Amino acid sequence: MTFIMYLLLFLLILGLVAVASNPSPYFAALGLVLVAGMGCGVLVSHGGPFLSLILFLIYLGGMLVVFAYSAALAAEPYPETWGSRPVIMSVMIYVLGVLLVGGIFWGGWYESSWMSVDELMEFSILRGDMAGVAMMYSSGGLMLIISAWVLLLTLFVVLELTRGLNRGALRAV
Amino acid sequence: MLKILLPTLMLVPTIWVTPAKWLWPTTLAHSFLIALTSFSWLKNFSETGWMSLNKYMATDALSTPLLVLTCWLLPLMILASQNHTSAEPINRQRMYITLLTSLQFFLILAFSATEIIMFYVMFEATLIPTLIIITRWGNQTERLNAGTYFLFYTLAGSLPLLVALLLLQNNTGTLSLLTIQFSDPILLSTYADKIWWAGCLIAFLVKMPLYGVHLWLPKAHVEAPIAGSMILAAVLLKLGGYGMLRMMTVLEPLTKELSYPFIILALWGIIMTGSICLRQTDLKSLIAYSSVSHMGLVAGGILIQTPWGFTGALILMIAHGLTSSALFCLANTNYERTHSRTMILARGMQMVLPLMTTWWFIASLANLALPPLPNLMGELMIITSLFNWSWWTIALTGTGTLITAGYSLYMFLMTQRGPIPLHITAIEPSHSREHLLIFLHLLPLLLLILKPELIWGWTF
Amino acid sequence: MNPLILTILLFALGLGTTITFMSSHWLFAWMGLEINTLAIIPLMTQHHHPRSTEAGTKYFLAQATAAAMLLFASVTNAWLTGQWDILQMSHPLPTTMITLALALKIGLAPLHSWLPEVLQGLDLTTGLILSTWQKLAPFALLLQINPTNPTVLIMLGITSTLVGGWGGLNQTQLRKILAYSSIAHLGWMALILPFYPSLTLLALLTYLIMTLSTFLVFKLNKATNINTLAISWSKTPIITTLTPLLLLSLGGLPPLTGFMPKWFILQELTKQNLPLLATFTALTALLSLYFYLRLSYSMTLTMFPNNLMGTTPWRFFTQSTSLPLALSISMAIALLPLAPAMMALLTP
Repeated sequence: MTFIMYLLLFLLILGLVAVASNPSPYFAALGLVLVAGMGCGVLVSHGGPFLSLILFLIYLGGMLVVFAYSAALAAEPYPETWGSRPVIMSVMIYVLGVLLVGGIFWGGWYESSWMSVDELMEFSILRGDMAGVAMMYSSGGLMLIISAWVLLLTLFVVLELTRGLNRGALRAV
Repeated sequence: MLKILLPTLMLVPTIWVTPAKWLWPTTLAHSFLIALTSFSWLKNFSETGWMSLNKYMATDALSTPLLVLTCWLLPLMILASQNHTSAEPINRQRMYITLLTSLQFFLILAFSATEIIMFYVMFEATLIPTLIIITRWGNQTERLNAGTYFLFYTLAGSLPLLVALLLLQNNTGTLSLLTIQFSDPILLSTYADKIWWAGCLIAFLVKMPLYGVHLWLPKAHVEAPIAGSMILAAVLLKLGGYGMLRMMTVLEPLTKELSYPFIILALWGIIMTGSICLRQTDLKSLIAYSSVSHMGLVAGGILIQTPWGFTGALILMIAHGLTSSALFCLANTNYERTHSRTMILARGMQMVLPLMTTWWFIASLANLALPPLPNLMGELMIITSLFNWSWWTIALTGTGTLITAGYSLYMFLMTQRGPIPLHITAIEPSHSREHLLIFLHLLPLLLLILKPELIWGWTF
Repeated sequence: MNPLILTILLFALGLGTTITFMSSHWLFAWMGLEINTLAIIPLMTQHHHPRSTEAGTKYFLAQATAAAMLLFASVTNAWLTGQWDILQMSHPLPTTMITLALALKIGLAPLHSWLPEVLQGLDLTTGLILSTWQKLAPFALLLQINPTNPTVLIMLGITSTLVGGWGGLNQTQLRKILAYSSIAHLGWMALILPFYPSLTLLALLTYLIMTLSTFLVFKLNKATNINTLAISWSKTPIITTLTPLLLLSLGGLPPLTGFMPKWFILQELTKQNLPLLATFTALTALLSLYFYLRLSYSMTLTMFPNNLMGTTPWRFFTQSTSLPLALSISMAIALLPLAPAMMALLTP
């Protein structure tokens, strides 16, 4: 199980490097997908299946599609990829930086936080996030109403900002 | 106290509801009545020294002369400004007199405050009307620069003063002038205490102004309209001296050594600013530098803290207030006729304005401290006490007196004697308003010869 | 803008601040702040001008960063201490992070650089909302978390008073000057917060009054740079006469209202044995005073030549409502004698 955690965290870092190093939105989005997926994996193995499920569904299913769509709108015809020299350079620098920082802090967190939930059998019975979700729906009714209102307001704001096509405040190219 | 303060406040409605035709006579009469009423403060029959005591204000032998001087100056300022504002719209004239009145209001509150912090607030409050008078009614564009200098020099000194006063409040628990001299002496030994000492005094030394931090004064004087110059020279500078006299009792053990550099600066300033006067071409600037020079003497007298020094300082402050204000008025009569402050363009005025020459003569003599004028009394007391403090000071103060005589003579000769330049032959004759104005300046000065103990302060 | 939408947005603006005020739970507080941010963005961009769009975008980015940081910090707090209550912050790490997040939200230096540029892109009414109403909710939170370690707030405070004074010195645009003035005032509030929170409230209150009247004066004159101010005498002579007092009150000159918070703050600092800090802060106020003085020079103390003396606009009837301005400007000038009453009102 520890090896799976290694793998997940390694890919998470790699995804972050991919996002940070690449100037083109296409490939950054690809890196983002990688980061989100790996993050969900880490969450699951720490015992948070509900959260990671939500994250996976909403983030990857909804937001990232919109992001990919808008990135496609603003995309350039000849994007820079990992093959080109400046990108490779920054990838190297980031990886070196990660290795450096990892090397410095290695001793500190290795024992404490890399343990996945299956190795602590007595705690894995208690799924805190499940109970929390139920709590939110049962006693946090007021908060739910406000959240709904915020979502509605966000819709209004976005509509107001983009209203009027090319005369709107924010517009497509 | 309120007998003076409320009529001063009521001047404001008087100014704004009087018909335009009667504006100047009415305000003059009103303010003059206030000034006459204020004389009642001079009779101090209290045993504790404090008179007309109420919750926040009181007068004593130290503040009374300055209070009366303040009240006396307002009618004179109104008299002096009548001509140069006559071209302006009536509302602006009313505004101008309102500003002068507010200045008197704040000054009365400052001099009569029994809490040091109230004195501080009013000390700062006088900045705003003065700033507006200088920058709104001055003549040249340099007035804005002068206003900035005036405000920032004063504030840079007085903000540390506020902190120092608040610290004093925390240490002694009181800032009341009535009780602070009886509070336990504070233990002052660390470096921080020395900085605190400087913080308490520097604001007043800037306001005096001490040589070295005096640059704002000539600028402000030169650019201000006549009323601004008068009140600045006569009363506002005295706020600094008054504040120092009040603070000295608290600062006791430290002043003895720490005041050396300031005394030296003050005395050196007498010589330096006097020498600057000797080669000055600008009449108002000359009078302004002469103020700095006299105020150096006052600062020296206060800083050595002997009874004679204090008394001399108070006498010199009052006498110099009247004298320099008179000189500014005289300079203004020239300025209103020739529209220039340059002395070389207005020579030989004796030929055209002979009676004015008499006033110039008396005012110049008062400036160089002719016996038996109070100016001499003050200078003599300060010089004597300084001599007692250290023999070497006589070299500086003596030379200073000589230079004072020199530039007073230079000013008199330059403006009054000699041939008259051709371009001012068709000059307007002097008005009786102007004669009255100068007369009202010099009359108290002459009468004070007869009863000088009115301005002797604590020692009487 | 459609009046219905405008109503909804203004309502949401009020609701956001109210939710933050009444919340004791970090999630609610965060939500209120987000509602606030969202609701003002369409107001910012209602004039379709590149500057205002830029301002809206910058504002959104800064506020979203601050809100995310706040959320992160409150989650960290819940993780570390098991508490979601605002009043029960016990761990220094989330407290400091929340302080910094709120500092970014209100624009305390060194997290201030969005504020002048955002304010410059707005019209005066929205600018007024931004620099008064939008400060309330973050301050309500700042006042509740009572930080254990005053160093952060003191550093933020000093930097803000310094940057606020320095930044405004060479500006000619009124809205930028007001932004820097806001930074400097917020610095004073942050400085006293660890020692005497009631004084922060007092300073905030006086700042709100003074800023309200300054914005209203500029709005009345339709002035956005210093040069436009110079002809204000021909529009509103009496306001022109009062404005130097208002500006000097912003600068904190006695005996005007602006001196009151400064006086009390300095007093409290000396009581806390911090006289050096007090002196330094007092002297940084001089920097701000310089540009207020410059504004009053160009507005009132010099007279701009105008060849239309006979038909100056102040002779004509105007439609603008003057009651709020009249009330606020008289409060912004002459509130100092009421200082004891105000302190009694604000001290718990």
